[in-house]
Parts: sequence; C-alpha cells; structure tokens
Amino acid sequence: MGEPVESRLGTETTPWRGFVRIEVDWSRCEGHGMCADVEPQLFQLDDEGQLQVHPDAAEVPEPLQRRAEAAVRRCPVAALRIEP
Amino acid sequence: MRDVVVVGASLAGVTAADALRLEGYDGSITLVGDELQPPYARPPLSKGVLAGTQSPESTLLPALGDDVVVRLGARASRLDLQQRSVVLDTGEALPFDGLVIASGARARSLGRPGQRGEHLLRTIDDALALRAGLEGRPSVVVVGAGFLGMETASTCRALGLDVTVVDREPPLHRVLGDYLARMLTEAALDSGVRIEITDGDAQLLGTDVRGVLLSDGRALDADIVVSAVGDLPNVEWLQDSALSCFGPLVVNERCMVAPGIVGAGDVVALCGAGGTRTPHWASAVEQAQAAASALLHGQAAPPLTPDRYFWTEQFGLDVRICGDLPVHGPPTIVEGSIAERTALLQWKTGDACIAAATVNHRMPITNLKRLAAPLNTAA
Repeated sequence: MGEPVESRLGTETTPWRGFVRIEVDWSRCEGHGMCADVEPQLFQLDDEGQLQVHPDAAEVPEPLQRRAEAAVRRCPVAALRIEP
Repeated sequence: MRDVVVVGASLAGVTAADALRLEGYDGSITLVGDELQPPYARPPLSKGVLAGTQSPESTLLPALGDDVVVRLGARASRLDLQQRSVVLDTGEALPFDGLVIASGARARSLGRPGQRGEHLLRTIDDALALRAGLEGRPSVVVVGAGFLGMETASTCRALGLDVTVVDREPPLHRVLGDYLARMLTEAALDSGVRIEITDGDAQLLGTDVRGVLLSDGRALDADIVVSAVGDLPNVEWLQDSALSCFGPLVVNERCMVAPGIVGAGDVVALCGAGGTRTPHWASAVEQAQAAASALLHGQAAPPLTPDRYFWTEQFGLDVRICGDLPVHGPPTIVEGSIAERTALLQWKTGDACIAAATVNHRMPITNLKRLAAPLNTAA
C-alpha cells in the first residue's frame, strides 16, 4: 500500500485552465439539482425540474471555473463533464 | 490553518476539499483514500454499471485540481492526536492542523471464514465482480431488502434473471414507512421478484456459496448470492485515540468532532439524530460543506440544517424523498396518483409538514424540500 499500484479506472487527469466548457449528458441527468446548489449562475432547474444550463457554460471563464468544477463533481449520476 | 488532511477519497472527502477551496482556504490539502481507484460515484453501481449500460469509467468524479494532493491506495491506520498526524499503514505520518474524517463505511458481510463467492456491492470492484457473475444468467438471491438490496434486485430482474429477496422485515419498511414501502414492494412483486420474509438472519450455504438458509429451515438455492445487509462505519483507525467509538463517529451540528477536527459522510452521525447515520449522497455533500466551513470558521460557521433529501430508483419507480423518514400512514396526494405511477405526495401531522415525495414526477428539488419543511402548510 502507500503509492498507487494500479487503478482499474485509469489515473487522474490534469485539470484545465483558460476557458472550459460544461458538457451535459442529457440521457443521464436526473435533475437532482446538486450542481444548481453550488453554482446557480450556471445551473438551474426549471419548473418541470429539468436542468437548464446557462449559455456561459459553453465558455466558463476562470473565476467561475472552480465553482463549476465543484458543481460537476457533485453530480450523483455523472451527467456533467468539463471539457477544455 | 495550513495543512489539512482529509481521510477518505469518496464524495464527502472530495466535497470537503472543494468546499475548503471555494471558501478561500489556500493551504495544503492531502486527500487519503484506501481504494486504488480515483474518487467515483456509487449510486450508478447498483444501476447502470451493474446493468452494463454504463461504463465504470463514467462513474469517476472529475479530477480535483492540482492544488489537492490525492493519495490513492493509502490506508489511514491510526490517528495520533498528540502529534496531530494521521499515520498510514506504511508508517508514514501526515501532520495536520485541520483534519476531515470522511473514512466512509464498508459493506457488512454474512460470509463465515472459509466461505467464498458471496457478493457485496459497495465498491466499483464489487460491482464489476457481480456484473461478471451475472453474465452466465444465474439465479440470484439478494439478502437484505433495503435500498441497495432492492435496487440490486431490480437491476437483476430487468436483466431477466430469476431473483429472490430475503429479509427479516418487509422491504424498506423500516427506512421508508408503510406507504412508500408497500408501493415499492408491489412494484417489485409485479416485476416478478420473489420476496421471502423470515425472522432471524439468513446464513450463506456452502463453501462456494450456493444459496442461503433461512431461519425457518428452508434453503434457497442460488447461483449468485448478494449480501446487501448494511454497512459499517470505518472507525477502527480511530480506536487508539480519544475519538475512539464503536458505532459511527458522532459529530455536532457543525460537523465538528474536536478542535480542528471535523467529520462528514457515511462514517458520521449528526448529534441529535439519535446516533443514526444518513448514508445518502445529499447528506454527504451537505455535511462535507458544513465540515469545511467549521474547520475554517469554528463556532462562527452556520450549523447544518439537513435537507434530508434522498432518492431511489427501482422497478420502474423513481422516488425522491425529503423529510423525516420513516413516515407512516397515507399521504395527501398533491398531484397524480399511485395507480398512474406518477405522483407528488405529502405527509403532515396536524398543520406541520413532515415529509414529501415524488414518484416518477419531476419538479425542482427546492420545491420538494419546501413541501417537507415543517412550517409549510401549503399542499
């Protein structure tokens, strides 16, 4: 034990800098709203409980990126990704 | 505070690291996890991953930034409160001035020494092993009719397998209350799952497990036996310290345990909750946020008001619940109907709301929480 030997799922990827884009896998999103709790500027649930992603999510500037990343990490169904 | 160690690299630990950074903490964060996999989401394990419709890779949480050191395959074996350090099983000591205890829980096993082949479903490796076992189209017995057991049974049944669920109590009754439990049980029976309720613990049969023995003497043969009989908080590494505990680690309303030490996730129980844990996704998130805040601000941090939100998907029913569970008695049906399999339900005691739930019904979760807020009287 100690240092990782092998991961079945691959290793950590490097984080992003500059503008990033949030991708939603709509087939997975279940509208639990965890992302909206972290960053309502980017994520909101509409009256039907469907996720609405703000247009800024196509090009998230650096100041918002940390919140966006935290929001993405909190998705229980892995419906959100951040792409460079 | 300059050095934070987070023990546990699952949702609570990762969220605590995120929350520390979002609140402006710029010291070091070291996240220690005993699994070799990077942090991943467990909810899909009993659903998409087990069904084979979702890849295990897709459950990975997006990587933390490079300002968080993630140590995978590293097991915390001891907490040294005098030296303020977490000691790994390699003997390495990680000094801290802030500690987040998010060491999670592990699946309880029914297997006796020497028995092989019992399946559990807690980790990604568990899910992959079970999925591989399902490929031969086995008959399946699931021991335990809680959320995990019923979701597992649902997925196995959807794959067309012969599935029996065994428990001492009617499915989900203890956790959900009679109304929701009955609704889900009926859906399970309609799908063709058999449910066996008997007193006492089921015993696994065979050296290579090939079924279970019920307390009434009946033996149920099965190619695959899955034990879904709850989980045990990982507190053993605390046992030589002043934080030693038998059950979960009890944290206060700010998720604090001791000065500079906080806890979150499946390992903890909030004080005032009767010592019961709430091992659900949303609980881990809100506890981790409260814990991070308490680490940075101490008593000035706001106490946690739990949302009490969780959900389950099984047998074609997507149920989302907010409030004090279990809840007994019939709800007010605010919208839809159970017969139509889409409904918004609300439970009240007098004028006070105690819980609300949706069944195959989408609405903003904030609205669901509002319907479960004690002072809300609107239906």
